[in-house]
Amino acid sequence: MDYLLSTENLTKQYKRKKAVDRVSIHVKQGDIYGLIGRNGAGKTTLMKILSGLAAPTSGSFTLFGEEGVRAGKIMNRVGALIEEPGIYADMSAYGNLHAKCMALGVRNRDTEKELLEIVGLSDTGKKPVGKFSLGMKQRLGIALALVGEPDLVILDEPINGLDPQGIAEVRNTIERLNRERHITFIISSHILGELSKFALNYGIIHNGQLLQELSGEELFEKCSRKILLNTPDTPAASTVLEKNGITNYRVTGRDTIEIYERLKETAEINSAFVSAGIPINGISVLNQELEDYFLELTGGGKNV
Amino acid sequence: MFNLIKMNFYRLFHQKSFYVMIAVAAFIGWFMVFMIWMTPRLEEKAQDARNAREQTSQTGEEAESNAGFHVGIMVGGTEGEELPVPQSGEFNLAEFVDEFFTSGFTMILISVGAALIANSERKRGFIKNLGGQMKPRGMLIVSKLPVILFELVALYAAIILSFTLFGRIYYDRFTAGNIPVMCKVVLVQLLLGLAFGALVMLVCTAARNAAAGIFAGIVVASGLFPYVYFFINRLATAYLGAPAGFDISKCSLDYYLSCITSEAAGKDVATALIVGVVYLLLASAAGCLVLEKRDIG
Repeated sequence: MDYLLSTENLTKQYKRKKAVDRVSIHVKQGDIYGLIGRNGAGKTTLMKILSGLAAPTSGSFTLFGEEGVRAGKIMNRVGALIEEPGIYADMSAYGNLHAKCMALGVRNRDTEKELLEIVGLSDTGKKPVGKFSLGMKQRLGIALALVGEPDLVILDEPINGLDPQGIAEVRNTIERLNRERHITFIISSHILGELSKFALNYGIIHNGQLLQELSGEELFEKCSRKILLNTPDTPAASTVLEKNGITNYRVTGRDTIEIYERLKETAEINSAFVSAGIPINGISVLNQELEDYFLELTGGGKNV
Repeated sequence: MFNLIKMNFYRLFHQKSFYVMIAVAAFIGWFMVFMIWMTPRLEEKAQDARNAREQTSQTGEEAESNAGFHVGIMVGGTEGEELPVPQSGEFNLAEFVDEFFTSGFTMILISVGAALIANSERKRGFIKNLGGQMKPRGMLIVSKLPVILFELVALYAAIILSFTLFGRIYYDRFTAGNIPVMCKVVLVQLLLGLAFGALVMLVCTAARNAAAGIFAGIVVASGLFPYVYFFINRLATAYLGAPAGFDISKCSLDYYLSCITSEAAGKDVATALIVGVVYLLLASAAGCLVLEKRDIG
């Protein structure tokens, strides 16, 4: 498969510490790729490399089909917001956007206004950015990343410090841009619950290494823990399960059975019970929280 | 590159510090004119006071000698000291411009101005918006040179205008002096100033802050370096077999920044031009290299 961005054993070493260790990620065109990791896992360093702000110690990446030096030349198609937004505090939001538009040679005079509208800052007028709230600065950072109509936008913790309404606004903005303008996003966050609401694919990074790369469906599947079956006739239901080759189950109550395998086959299991004439009061998949799954994977509960 | 230069100018005109610098330059102009105008007048007042005191002491001496006492009064002052200022009531603009260039103010102004320009993107991280998308990244350094040059022109213009205005106000007679020579001096000083600005920008880029560049500029302006040059000269003569007339300061920017005036010899001006160009190229190239090799953020 052709990817918009793929990395090959990307490594960044600071003295003896490897901040990014042989990471190979694959981002498809039109994707919203969520990069999950604890603080200090290497997300920001990886994003800096991908946005051209840092050079890898070893490894390579292919961007828009170009590799190495040639990939560097098309970095103007990549917008980035890394860590806190880089802004001139004494200038207005419009002024900041205008400065970047000038630097990138954006000729369209309405670009600044359009971007301000997209991120909901069109009513800020001449107010200096230094007086903006954290959320407003964050949204301006996203607008700055969008200058020059990039095809790939890299956002490092874009919902950090935002209130629930701000988070929802940023999420909606990203989804809209992805849907309407087909912009590919790589987004890191440690608010995993939020990220899971709009990311389509995920990379889980820990101690500089990529632990897993998986799609939203795969992640959902991995987080699925058990099928909860509610029936008044548990002995008969157990017989049906065993007839259908399901052995990894447990009767946990007078009318409850927990099934730990074939989690995607709830429909088939249900019809097996119906065929056998066993009444079923309810059948559902119980999911593990994404954060619990992540903790399980990275082996701890700190700093998440 | 042209887009970056445009952005840098846009940023410069929206930077309060630029206007503050111009105001400071104008103030320095007024201050120099006022001090030089005021000094001979104060000297006259001091002389009057001395005379009055001498008369009083003589009267006292007579009275005291009558009483059998002898008291001596020692009068301090600057009698015989040469004033470094025109005392004739005539203002010569070219002389004042020379005076300004030989003072350390130029280097301090350049270092502050260049450091603020060099650091404007780094401060608060705006460079992160550009660093990834600008290839080669060294363009970010080179694009600042026209802006530094423009700032120098603005600063020198502010000072010369201030000299002109206050020279006409304070002095009875105003003469511009040798304008073509003054223009030549200003142009050479602009080149030297730009090279010094590029050096300051290199320090700021390497140290990742403006303070380092300003500090370096102030150290150079403070007159510390001639001692270093003297030491190097002696070292080179004693251990490296350098000829007796060897003088490393002749290769230094600060030397020419403070010695190129309307009285400078043609040979010195030519050497200053070469030194300026060499420093400008080396400092810019080194700045580009540092920015290119370093990670941003």
